[in-house]
Amino acid sequence: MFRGEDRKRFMTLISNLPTATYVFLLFYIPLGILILISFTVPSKFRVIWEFTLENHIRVFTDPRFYTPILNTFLIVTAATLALIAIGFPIAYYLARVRPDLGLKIIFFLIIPVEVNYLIRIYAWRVILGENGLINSFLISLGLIDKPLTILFYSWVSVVIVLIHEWLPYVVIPFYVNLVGIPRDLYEAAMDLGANKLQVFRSITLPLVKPAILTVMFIVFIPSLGEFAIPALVGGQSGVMIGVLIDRYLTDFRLAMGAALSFFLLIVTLILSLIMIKIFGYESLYQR
Amino acid sequence: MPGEKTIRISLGLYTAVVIAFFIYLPIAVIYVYSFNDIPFFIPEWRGFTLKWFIQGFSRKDVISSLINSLYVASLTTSISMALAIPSAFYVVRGRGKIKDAYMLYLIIPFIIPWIIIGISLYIFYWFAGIQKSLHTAILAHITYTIPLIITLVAPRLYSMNPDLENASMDLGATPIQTFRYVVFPQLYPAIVSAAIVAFVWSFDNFIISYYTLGAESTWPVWVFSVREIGRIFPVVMAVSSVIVTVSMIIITIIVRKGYVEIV
Repeated sequence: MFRGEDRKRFMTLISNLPTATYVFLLFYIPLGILILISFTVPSKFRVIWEFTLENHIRVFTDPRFYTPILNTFLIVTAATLALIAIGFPIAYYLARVRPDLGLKIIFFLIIPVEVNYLIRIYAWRVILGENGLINSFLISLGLIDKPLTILFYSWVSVVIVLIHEWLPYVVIPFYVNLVGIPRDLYEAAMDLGANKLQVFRSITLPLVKPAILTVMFIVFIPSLGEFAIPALVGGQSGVMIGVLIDRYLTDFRLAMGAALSFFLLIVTLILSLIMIKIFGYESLYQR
Repeated sequence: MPGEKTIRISLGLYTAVVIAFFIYLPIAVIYVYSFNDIPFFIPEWRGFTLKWFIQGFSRKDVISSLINSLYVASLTTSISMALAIPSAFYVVRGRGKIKDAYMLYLIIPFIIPWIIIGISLYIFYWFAGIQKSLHTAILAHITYTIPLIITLVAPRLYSMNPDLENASMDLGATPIQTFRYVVFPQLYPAIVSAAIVAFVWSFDNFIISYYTLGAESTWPVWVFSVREIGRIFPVVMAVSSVIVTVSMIIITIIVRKGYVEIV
């Protein structure tokens, strides 16, 4: 039928057609409908096909949205920064100080991921709750008289649970990255008279940049849409945009829910595309 | 400046404490409350019991949600593998603008929050009048697992030599034979680990399932649905500790036998 290059092109086309069609039908069309609905006149239980910018303007002007939207970015930024600060030393220890233990400990980090995260959130409620483990412990030590309320139903608990949820996914890319830096580089630097701090600043830090990017992709962006964690432990100060979207959806006020989703979509897309532009798709592959 | 030994020891201690608190404390809570004879969560030990396990595994809703999750995860994994692998080849081997655009086209579901996939399909199914069921959830999961598998298989594909396939084709092998005897043996560690990741992701996914399931629940959605019923918590914990133990054994076997590299 076809020879050489033509045949190859034909095979590529045929083998990619089902995937392309699938993604178009079940991702792009629904997404298109969602975006369209976000521009319709707000109404309950139905969609009125008259277009307006009202919902999108409300996302930025309705004061009731300020807190959840601001919360979302503050909480996720705090959690991501905390994760990098907490996770990097662990990865450094496993890759540089005790390479013999590295893979074993990584294995132990992965195992708990097998427990569904909702159940782990329930467990955190037991730990952080008003009559929870931490409060009872602190009271029995006599350090506090009344339970600490900041630990439960607050943004603090959302951050703690996010750290728990994502720590393995932060340690692993840093670990892979650090293991990949050749030892010679360090030895050369030391031979040339650099001290430990200089080596760390001029070799280790620049070379772990890709891992920081991976963390942005697999932690920061998905967390922006988090719904279960703020819904289960967030309380008032921990309300995030995901919770808001769900409220509108269960209320069946589709237009406003769609507009909030559109906002979230645009923000995450811009962030992701900037990072892809700078670092290339390869950054997605590193895990 | 502190000595090197002090730094090493304190880093080690730090690692141990962080992993113990952030990773294993909740797991310990799950195990302890699975055996604790107390129907709600207060920090108190009221004696050892196995009744939560018996109750858990004799509940119809628990069993059927677990079976549903296995069903969803198996179908999601196999269909998305079949759809993703050919695209992974093109994305890695192809050149030019069309390929770049196609890569972006496939990867977008991967770089936006899951909740958006969930609600756009929620509205789409409602709009198209499609009755939601386990299968609508499977269709939804696949839109995410296609790019997930591509990103997991791509690094391995990058390191494969295309000359081997060309040689095989030049010597008269069909594309299927070439895949079976030349490509698959090189690719299979990546295929196995991608399949495991996709399966676990699908089994555990809550947000997308939550918006795209019908009357039947998967395990995570069932767990969410009982969030206000305190007395069911010990049952949930007991069932989870069984799931964790079983998957720990399976993973240990897989890793020991060398089927996959963990990192």
